[in-house]
Amino acid sequence: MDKDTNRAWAMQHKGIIYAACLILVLFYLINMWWLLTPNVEIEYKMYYITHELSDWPGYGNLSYTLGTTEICTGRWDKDGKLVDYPVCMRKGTGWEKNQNEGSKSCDKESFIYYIPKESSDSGTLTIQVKDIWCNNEGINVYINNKKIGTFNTSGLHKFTIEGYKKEELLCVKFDTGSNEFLLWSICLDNF
Amino acid sequence: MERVDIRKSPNYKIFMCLVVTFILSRLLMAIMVLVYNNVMGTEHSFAYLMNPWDAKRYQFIIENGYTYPLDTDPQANWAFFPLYVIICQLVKLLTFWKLDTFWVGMIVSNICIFVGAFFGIKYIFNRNNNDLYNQYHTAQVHNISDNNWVSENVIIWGSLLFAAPYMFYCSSTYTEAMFIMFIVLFFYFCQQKKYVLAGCMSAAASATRIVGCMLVFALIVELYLDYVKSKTIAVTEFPFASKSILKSSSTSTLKYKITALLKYKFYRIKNFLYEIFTTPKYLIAILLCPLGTFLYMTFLRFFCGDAFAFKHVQIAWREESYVPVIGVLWKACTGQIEPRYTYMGWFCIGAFLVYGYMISRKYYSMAVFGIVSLLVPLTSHVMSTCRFTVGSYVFLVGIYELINKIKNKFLVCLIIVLLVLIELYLLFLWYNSDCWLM
Repeated sequence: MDKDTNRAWAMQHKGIIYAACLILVLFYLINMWWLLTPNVEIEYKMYYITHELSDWPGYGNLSYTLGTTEICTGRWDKDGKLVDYPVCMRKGTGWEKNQNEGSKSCDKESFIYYIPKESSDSGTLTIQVKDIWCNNEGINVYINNKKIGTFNTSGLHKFTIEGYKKEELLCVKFDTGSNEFLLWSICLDNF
Repeated sequence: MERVDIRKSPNYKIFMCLVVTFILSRLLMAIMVLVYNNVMGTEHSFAYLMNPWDAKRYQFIIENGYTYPLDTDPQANWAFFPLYVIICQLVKLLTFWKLDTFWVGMIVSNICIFVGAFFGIKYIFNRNNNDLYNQYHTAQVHNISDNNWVSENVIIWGSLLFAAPYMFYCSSTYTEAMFIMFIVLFFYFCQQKKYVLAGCMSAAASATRIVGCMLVFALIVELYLDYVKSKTIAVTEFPFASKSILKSSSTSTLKYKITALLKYKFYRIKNFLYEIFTTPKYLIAILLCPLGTFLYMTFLRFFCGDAFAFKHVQIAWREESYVPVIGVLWKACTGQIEPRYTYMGWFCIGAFLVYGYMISRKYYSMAVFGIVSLLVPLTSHVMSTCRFTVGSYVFLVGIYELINKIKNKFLVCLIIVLLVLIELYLLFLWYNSDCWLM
């Protein structure tokens, strides 16, 4: 090969490598875009990405059949056996990790999330409080940031709530402040 | 034609010394199985004892591929990078899917660590005989045809890579051995100035473990050192930094001197960047470094919709959050978390000291990689940092350099024996699935 052919080959060679570099950069940029825009289910997003859920509910398990009373323990009992009752695996932040005797609040606000399978114009939220440590003001309960009631004793409490839509996230918030309570069960129902 | 006697080749000598060290180390592992079974009154097999914890997860992925997390277990297996799994699957395929997965994993790991040890010692020999490093008085120059010197050093090196504390991971179904092999080959190719190949090794390392991406920093350091050496820019080229000014110590010229030095540094870095962008093979070498991780990210995007799933899934293992690095080390070293983490915290401090020593010995790129690869896990916890540190390979080079500096041969033997004994103790804990190794 003469000198000109060699130079032309070198230039072409250089061009190919630059093209490969460009492809790599584009590939990385596409991945960066995917990093910013994950295409995942809501349970995945709330547990793995935003950490709004304290327990992994499993794919599709934030969906809720109205009227199901869920017990607020873990999936396993003290002996490490899987429990045979419906467990509330939809708890958000503000709950203690140890939940053998129920779920104890441990922050100023504690959350529970639902995605109802049906719409309703009105309904009820029933909670069974196993124990409570609070002043007279009590603990305020909100649904989607709208106050639905207060409680300051243990036992069964029933709150009336306004309507909710099918497949839309519903957030139950317990505004505990400096108080604490031990939640045993919770049930969302329509009238 | 002249007949070449392969037995006289330095590579043959290195290979044979490593084979002997390797066989002895694996014999010790087998003996420890008998010891463990006798002490604990069990009858577990070698494969069973060698492969607890994550090895079982790798076994599952090798046999079934990646799966979605169960409702009862959020620890999704996509936290584990795919290259080791793919290689194991290929080896298993070669045996018509007959060979036990643990044995496949162990065979792959043992081959990888042997290859790593071989090229690692070649790197060190080359470095010690390289002109660039010989200009420093700290470098040792030896003739590779000196049989005793080669044997002694290969045995020290082999003992470190096959039987030093925490190296049992390299014999089990874990990614450590393969990761070490790619890191060794990365530095070896950098030394040979085959930067594109080094980039490919980094890409492979980044498909084995996320920290492999960090080799890009080591590559940049290597390229910069190479650039500085090849260009040797004369300070006198710069009117603003003439030798007389730089040598002057009068206070009136101090400010001017600092400005001149800064300008000089800036000029050199600017030229280095220009060199990178105008030399396509350097550019592609750098861009290749994280390719493995990005390919895995693409897979995850299509598999579960989240390209960063391997990072996000960590919440299922570690829920505590501390201030990255400083906070984590403070909590660990001051005993505010479990005692095993106090030990690991201090182990990390020791590792940083070793990297500091490596910088003083001009192992710049390795030290940079070691520091960065230790900082990554320290952003969340000290958990498993002993494994990560030893598994980043460069720590072993630092230890080798430290041992090599000792002139007293008896003391060197004593240290090696001590390290092997610690490894045997840790191996016992490993067989017992002891939490101090987590």
